[in-house]
Amino acid sequence: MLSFLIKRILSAIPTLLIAYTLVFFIAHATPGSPWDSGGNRPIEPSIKAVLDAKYNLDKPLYVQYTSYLWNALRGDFGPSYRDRTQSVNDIVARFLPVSLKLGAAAMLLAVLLGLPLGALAALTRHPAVDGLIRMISTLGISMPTYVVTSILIVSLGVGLGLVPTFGWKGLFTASSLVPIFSLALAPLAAVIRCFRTSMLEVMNLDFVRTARAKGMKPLPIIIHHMGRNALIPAITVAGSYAAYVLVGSFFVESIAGIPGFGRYFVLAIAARDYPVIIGTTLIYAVIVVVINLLVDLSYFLLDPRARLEQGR
Amino acid sequence: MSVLDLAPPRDAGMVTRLWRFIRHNPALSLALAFLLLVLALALFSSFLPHDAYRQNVLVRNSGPSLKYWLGTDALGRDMVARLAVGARVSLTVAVASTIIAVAIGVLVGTIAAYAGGFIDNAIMRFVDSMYAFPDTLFAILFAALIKGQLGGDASGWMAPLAEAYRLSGGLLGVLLTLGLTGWVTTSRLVRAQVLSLKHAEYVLACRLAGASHWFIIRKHLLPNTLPVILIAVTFVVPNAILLEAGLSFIGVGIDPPTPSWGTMIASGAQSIQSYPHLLVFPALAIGLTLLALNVVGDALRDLLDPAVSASRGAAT
Repeated sequence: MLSFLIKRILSAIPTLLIAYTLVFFIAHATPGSPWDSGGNRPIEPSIKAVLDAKYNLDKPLYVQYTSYLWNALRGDFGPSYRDRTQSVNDIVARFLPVSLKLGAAAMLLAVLLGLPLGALAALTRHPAVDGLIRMISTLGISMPTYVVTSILIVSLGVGLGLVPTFGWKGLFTASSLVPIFSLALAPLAAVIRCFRTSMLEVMNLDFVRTARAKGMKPLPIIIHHMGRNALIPAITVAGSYAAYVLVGSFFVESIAGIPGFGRYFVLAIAARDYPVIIGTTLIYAVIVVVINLLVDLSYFLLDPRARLEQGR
Repeated sequence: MSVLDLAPPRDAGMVTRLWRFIRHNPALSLALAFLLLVLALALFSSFLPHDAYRQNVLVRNSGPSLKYWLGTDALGRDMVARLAVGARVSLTVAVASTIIAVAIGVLVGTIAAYAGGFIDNAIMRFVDSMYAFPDTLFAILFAALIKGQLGGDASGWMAPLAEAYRLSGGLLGVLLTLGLTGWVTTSRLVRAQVLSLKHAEYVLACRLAGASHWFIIRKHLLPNTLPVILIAVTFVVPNAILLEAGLSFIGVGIDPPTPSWGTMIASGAQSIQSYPHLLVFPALAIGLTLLALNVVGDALRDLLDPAVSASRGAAT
């Protein structure tokens, strides 16, 4: 297991490097300097030169490339150009926690609701129940988050006045209800679909029939025999959604007015704030890689066969 | 009793079977009907009673009425006309960017699988890295880059491109972005299919008979990859519509005054309190279109390959 872990961590390095290279050159190929304030007052050339020198923008591109990478490896993502009193690290510390809390709550909701609904859809003999659950999952997979957020805010916020229409007052307030649900809908639908399919596959296997023949009660069979085996694909699917739900949705955060990571990323792109763009993308990449690693590790916990295979 | 009577009934034609399949699937019929409506609106938007760009300050932000079926926006422009032109933008993006993305995906996937070895490894390592990120992230970066390059005063060889970009109202940038970022899934599906075909006996026989690589790819591999390509299209098309609206929503997609469902949602979101209809109608338009496309895609995948649709959870 240790060797597997080391191998996986090593194989993440080229992925991260490619991501860094892509985003570095895309960010720097975008024309215009970060000091353009937009509008009709171009910046004084001498001031521009001083600013460029201060932030190393006068150096050749490959020097910038390596020096930024070296600093990032030591955990320093540089200063923000847009808001010069703050470093990228400050910005991440301020905006990422909001998105992480929101995303974690959404993922929790998706898994805790998705697994029982998926199991119910697979096990029920009633076509209406199965049909209803399948309809919810199709709806959840097709509806973009910005549509869900807007419709929920209009109906619950403007129409009924149950939730605030804009702003963020913390995780345990009414202001988080619509964003959490909008973020949770897509992973919820995916978990339902996937768990339903894999429960249906497991349902008629020999060991389930044996357990039933032994006289085990249905619920322990569903949980211990079927659920545990069907869980693995569902975890993989949930993992593939976790990264972008955790880091925050640009759309949900903009419509609902949440000061999160996703919204800041979009603002940074508009302002050509290279360090923020590169820094946020790198953090994004690290989170994706870590989540994929966690998903792989969860196989060891859930599936003794995976442990056995790696042990050889 | 003659031999003829014992012969199995002749197969119904392709069209008849398809028609029967559609008729027995009410969700599919509804979805197709809705998509036809959207297509008709997009094609014939100029025959609608109002113009999508005509401003009328006297009827700003008016709600749905007999004269303006879905109301008017903040500049007094008719919402139906704007939604119809938005549908045209969405469908243009969907068709054109899908052609670009699928073409790149087929090319990359076929080359990787057919060449094998080092080339395959290098290409797939790159594809895996792209796959590690949600496509939204790359699409936003790319679109911002293209908008920056072509949106301003370009000179030299870029000048005609910039002119085309400006004339298309940002459409060109969206097409390039979606085409250049949307090929990843296709390349994976095609690579897997070509890999499994590559060692088939008839391909080997063809090789032994002296056929060239290009001949084998063109005559044997590509035709047999067609179902997989169609399956890829069912994923790429809704994604293109979703991303176009997303990019326009953020402000790196279609430029105003050209209406796009994404920009309409963005401006509607600003007056959510007072004029919710400005947000709800474009949101419903894109939501229902994507829903219909997904229903049609599901049915198409079921028809083409039951195995893929069973494991679909991971791919969507």
